[in-house]
Amino acid sequence: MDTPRKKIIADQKENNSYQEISEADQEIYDFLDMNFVKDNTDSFSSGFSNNIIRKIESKQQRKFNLKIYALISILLLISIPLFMSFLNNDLFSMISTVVKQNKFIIAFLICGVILIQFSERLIYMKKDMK
Amino acid sequence: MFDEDKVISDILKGNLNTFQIVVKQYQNLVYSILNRMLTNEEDIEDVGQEVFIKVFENLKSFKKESKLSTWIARITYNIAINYLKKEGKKKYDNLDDSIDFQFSSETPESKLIGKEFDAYLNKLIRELPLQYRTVITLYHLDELNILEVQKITKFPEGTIKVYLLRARKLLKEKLQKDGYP
Repeated sequence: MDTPRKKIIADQKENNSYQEISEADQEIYDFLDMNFVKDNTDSFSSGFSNNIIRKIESKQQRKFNLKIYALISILLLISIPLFMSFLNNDLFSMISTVVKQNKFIIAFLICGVILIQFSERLIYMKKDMK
Repeated sequence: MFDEDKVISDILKGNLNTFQIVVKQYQNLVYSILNRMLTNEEDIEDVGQEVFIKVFENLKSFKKESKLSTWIARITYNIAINYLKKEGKKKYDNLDDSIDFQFSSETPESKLIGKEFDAYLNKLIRELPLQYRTVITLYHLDELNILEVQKITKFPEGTIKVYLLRARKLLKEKLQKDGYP
């Protein structure tokens, strides 16, 4: 690999703009170039690449969840008109009987879902605070 | 050996471990650019992450018209410029005013050597107008030549050469004044 100074001289010669410079200037330019070609010792933190992979994974997970939600929404949109076509008095009375018979189970399931949602939010809030 | 084509096709298949190799391969390049364009260490880390996430998301649009390093450097440059704009910092300094440009760093009491001198030189470069420090940083990274710097910054070739010469001249004069080499 050419040193920067060589690169610059080559570029200038190509454009006929090369001008001779004094020895003193040449010396300081060489000194400057010598420092430019030194490898940079500073860099990102040690966990930098792992953080990126984690962020990409969570982004991919979010995208996947969005797709699933979209799919569920489409299925719901399709099933609602289908369900409506079955609506009649017999169906309503049947549903109300089933609900009455299993009201405790239904209430338990609803409470369970609400609790899971709350606990999940609490966990995320604690993680964010850390 | 870093086989660019194989690595790219592996990543496009969704292999994140291979992408980690790309991050490790080019993180110094990205750091060098951001280190000169931005000043806050935390900003550099955040913007660096944003760069590599964008690289991952846009890799399928990489047409191999340039080296992968040039493409990554262009993304880094664009994100850094957008970040500076968003933060309300000026995109570019007015170069008419920089004709009388003066470094604010005072001459050190004694001649610096090793890491101390590297830090001092880095500080001087960071004080240069944004165009100068961007061009000088990109050009002196081993991988890039003037045409590649042009692809990254979209500055005309002549302008890049002028910025480069002026930046080098300013640094030379300052170091001469400080008694180097």
